[in-house]
Amino acid sequence: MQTQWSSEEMLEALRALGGTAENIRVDESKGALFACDPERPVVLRVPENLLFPLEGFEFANGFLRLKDPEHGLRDARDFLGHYEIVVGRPLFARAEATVAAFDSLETAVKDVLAGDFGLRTSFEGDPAWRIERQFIERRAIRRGGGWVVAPVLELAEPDARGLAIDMGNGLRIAGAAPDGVRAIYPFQDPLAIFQRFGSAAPQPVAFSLPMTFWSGGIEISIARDLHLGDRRGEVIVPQLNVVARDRLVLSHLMLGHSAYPRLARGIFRARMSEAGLSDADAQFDRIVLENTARLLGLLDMLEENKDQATDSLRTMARHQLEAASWSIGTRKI
Amino acid sequence: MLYVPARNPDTCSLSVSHNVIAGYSLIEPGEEWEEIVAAFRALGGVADNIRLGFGQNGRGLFPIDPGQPFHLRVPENLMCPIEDISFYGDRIGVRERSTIRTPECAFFERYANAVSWGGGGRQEMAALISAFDALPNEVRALLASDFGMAPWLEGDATARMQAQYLQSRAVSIRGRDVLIPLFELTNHNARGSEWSAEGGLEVTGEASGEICVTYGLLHDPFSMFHRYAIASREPIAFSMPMKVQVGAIPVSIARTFELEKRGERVTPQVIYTNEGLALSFLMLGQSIVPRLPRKMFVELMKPLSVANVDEEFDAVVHANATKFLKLLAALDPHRGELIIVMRKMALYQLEAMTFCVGAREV
Repeated sequence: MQTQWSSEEMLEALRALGGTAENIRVDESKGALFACDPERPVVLRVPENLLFPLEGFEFANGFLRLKDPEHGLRDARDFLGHYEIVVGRPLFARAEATVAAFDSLETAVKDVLAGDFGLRTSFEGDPAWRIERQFIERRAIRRGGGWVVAPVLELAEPDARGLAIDMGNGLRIAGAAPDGVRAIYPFQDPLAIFQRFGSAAPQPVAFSLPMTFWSGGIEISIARDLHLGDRRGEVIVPQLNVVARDRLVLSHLMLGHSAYPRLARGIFRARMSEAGLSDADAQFDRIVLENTARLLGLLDMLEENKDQATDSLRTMARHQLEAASWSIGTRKI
Repeated sequence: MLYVPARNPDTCSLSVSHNVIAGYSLIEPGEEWEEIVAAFRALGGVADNIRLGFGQNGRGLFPIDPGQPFHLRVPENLMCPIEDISFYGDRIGVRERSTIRTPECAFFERYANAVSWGGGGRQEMAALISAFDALPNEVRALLASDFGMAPWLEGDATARMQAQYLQSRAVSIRGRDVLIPLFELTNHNARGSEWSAEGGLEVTGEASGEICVTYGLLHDPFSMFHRYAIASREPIAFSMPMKVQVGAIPVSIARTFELEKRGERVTPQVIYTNEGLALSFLMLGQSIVPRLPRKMFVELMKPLSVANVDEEFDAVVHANATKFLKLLAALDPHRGELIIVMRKMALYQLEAMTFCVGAREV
């Protein structure tokens, strides 16, 4: 039986295992991070030995635990065990609250989210299983080709204006955090943040909702596999997969990006040109139109409701529209 | 600077079918209504198969027999120029210096005090002004600064009621704003009945429910709210007034809606000034001809020989979207009837703006 650490003991243990936690305070009840002195910058680094591949975990009794009890070094395993006792409960409670909020939505709203927004898995199936999935997905951070759980750092709330995660040697964030420690989760749009964290947060980028359209006799499906892409110099473009002679699948499609407003149309043009399809500009406009129509339809539908779940949903839709509006001109990819 | 056009017969040909609205109640025609309609007819008007009622838009005109055609004709002598109208306490009338003949003056005063301003119009406007006054401060500030809504919000409440009443009922006939008895009671629907104003105003047709008319093609959801304080889904969106830079040339976009004929085409008026180019309006989206808005902008900018005009158009669309999303954000924490109307208006405007797909030759 492991004893329960205080959050300070937890940070001490992190440091002892090669990590850095300067000016960091853990709010155990919320499962959130704050600066001890909001006037000073924070530094938090989780070393490689404390990064655990997501696939190595299993869920048991409201906690994550390693499938292989002999995985990695003993000190790291012990740290993880103690850490889970401190933060597992509040994170699990948040996952429960998120699933409860999804379930509290009106049936008509759920139908729209399931059908038009690709959120079917958020509503269907055993609630216990959904809470478990929500609990796990919320904690995963994309790194290279896989997903890892980064103790302590995972508690940083998502915020496009938060601290960038340096993934060079371990995971590290550093900088000013006067209102709580927040981190940028790259390649996540407001819908993805909502699905993963159950909260609404503005993001610089918006990706298309899942949909299918026809162009030049070819059926093209747009998915929302935001992590699947091919690198083109500085730019990540969606994967374009041929699944049949007359059927293509784009792993995702960027609609707008406030920092790179010429990018979205440029990427679509490039991919359509490679597929030998014409009239890409009009097609892109139609995709934007369809996305906007679905988001506005959702906002209209939520008009009569006023509770926390619909408030978050409404704010998410507004943030998604804002990010999508950042498509200005084009550029060559 | 005007933000919205008055009802305009030159731009009201959108109609594709008559509006049919289920569920309405009719007002029993009292003696006074019968006498007013008789006086209207005696002065040259036609009002066949028409009566007052309440539908989903509030008070409006309905057919007495929905199975029969209706016919409303208002001769020019019964149209009252807005500048000739005055308010005396709670009553409305015609100014003494007006050139309107005495019988028409008498008719207008009786009609307006019994049916229009005095028949519910004043109360409706008072309720609206109260609703605007009750809006949260940050919403009021945003409406005044970014949406030209100060006339609804600032100044003496009675003066605002009167001004907004006249604005919401004015019809522009050959450049002159007039109040047209009976016709001013019709509500708007983008697919409402067509009407003409040649030698008097005329609207005919069949309606199984409320008799609605279209107030004109140059109305987008925002202008419908600005002028009538309603949320109305429209097939078109125009840019908010703004100044942009197209290449090295400053371009100002207005919402004055003057039109210019270029061969077979009608376009916004374009004026070259020392300060750059001035457009009387700019269409951003059009659901019926979605390839038109961008192409029209490109054509209008052609004389400037600026590269990458498409990007300038995108920037204008983005600036407009940002304004309405900012309004939605400001409205988000609040509840209330007018808040809901504004929220819907913003959604409709954003929706209409998205109807811009590719570009077509114009």
